[in-house]
Amino acid sequence: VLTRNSAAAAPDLGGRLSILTGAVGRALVALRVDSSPVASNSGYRIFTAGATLDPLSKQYGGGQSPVSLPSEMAYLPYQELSVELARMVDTELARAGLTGAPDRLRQAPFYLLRRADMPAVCLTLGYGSNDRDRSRMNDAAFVESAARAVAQALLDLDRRLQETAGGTNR
Amino acid sequence: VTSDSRPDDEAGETEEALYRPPPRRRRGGCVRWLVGFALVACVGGLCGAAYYLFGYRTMPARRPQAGNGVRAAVPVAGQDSQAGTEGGYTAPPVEENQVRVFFTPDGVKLQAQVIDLPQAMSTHERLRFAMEELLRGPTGGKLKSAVPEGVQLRAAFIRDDTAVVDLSAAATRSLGGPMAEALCAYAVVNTAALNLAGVKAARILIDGQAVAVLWEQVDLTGPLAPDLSLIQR
Repeated sequence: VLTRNSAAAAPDLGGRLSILTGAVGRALVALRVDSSPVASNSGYRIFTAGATLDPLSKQYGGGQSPVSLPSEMAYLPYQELSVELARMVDTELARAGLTGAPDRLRQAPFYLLRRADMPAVCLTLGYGSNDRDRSRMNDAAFVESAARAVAQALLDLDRRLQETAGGTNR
Repeated sequence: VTSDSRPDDEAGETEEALYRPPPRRRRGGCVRWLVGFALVACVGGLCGAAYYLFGYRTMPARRPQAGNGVRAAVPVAGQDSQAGTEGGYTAPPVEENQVRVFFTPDGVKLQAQVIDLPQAMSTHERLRFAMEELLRGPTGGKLKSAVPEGVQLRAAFIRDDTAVVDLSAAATRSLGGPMAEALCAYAVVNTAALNLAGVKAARILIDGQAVAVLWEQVDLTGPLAPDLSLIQR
């Protein structure tokens, strides 16, 4: 499910969250492009919601009790799976020959990642401020290989979910 | 002359015996002193090593330049990054007359500058001073501000264990991408939360209002704990 297929038709975050909530998907991969004042910064990076960055997370059991969680803490039960998905995406992107940033697996308190009722990552494919990244992202072959890598990671996660007894298989 | 004392019951002490010089201390006493001193030195050394290895190393303060005791910036290494970040972690405060303010050397990490306070300040004044220094930007060196230009500080105060920072609407200007957005958010949060003892997190307001999301990305529905993993080692 695509939350949008053009910049002009971009729904707001609430709209995107509604699409996620109503979707039959099992995982979220948010695609972004990064930018930096330092032109040499390049490479893809994968973000997951950071339970450890949330000062309230400990009070709510660190994700062990989804029933008692307030809605804004819904990401916690999926924290481990999100990190696993991030690693799978990273593995597949590296296998496809894409270059990652040195610290490419990061945590960040991003809204959709925290609220998606499923494993969720945000993938920045490169830096628009870097000439090499920008030309790559305009290359259809690059986009194709990145898309295939992400799709393979999603299939790996799906297999993992199906193998896990009592997992969050919806 | 041996160090042995003569038996007390020796009959009839002579005058010579009365003026006999006091017995020398036994060698055993000297050894005990040496052993004791060595133990104290070892314990002190171990404590020092443990503090160096595991304790919080306060960053060296930048020295004020002549005529300006506040903005004399010398970039210093960031604080030791803890293994990951834990909710509720509270870093020890810097020296009482200093604050550390976080800028970025490379658009990926944060680095602290230690700034001397111009005068003694209360906790609230200290928070406000640190935030104003953050918004003013780094002085010298290769550091850059992670916060967009033109952002004004509307208010800064502490409620319970949370620093509340109210920024002007200029802070909502697009930064171009998730990494820049995370850096900006944590430049504010780390600066607000890592300078004050007892403060565990920071809440960002925009124009006096609680906003759910900043840059359509960063979740501001609650306070954010500082992210030490972003700080350059």
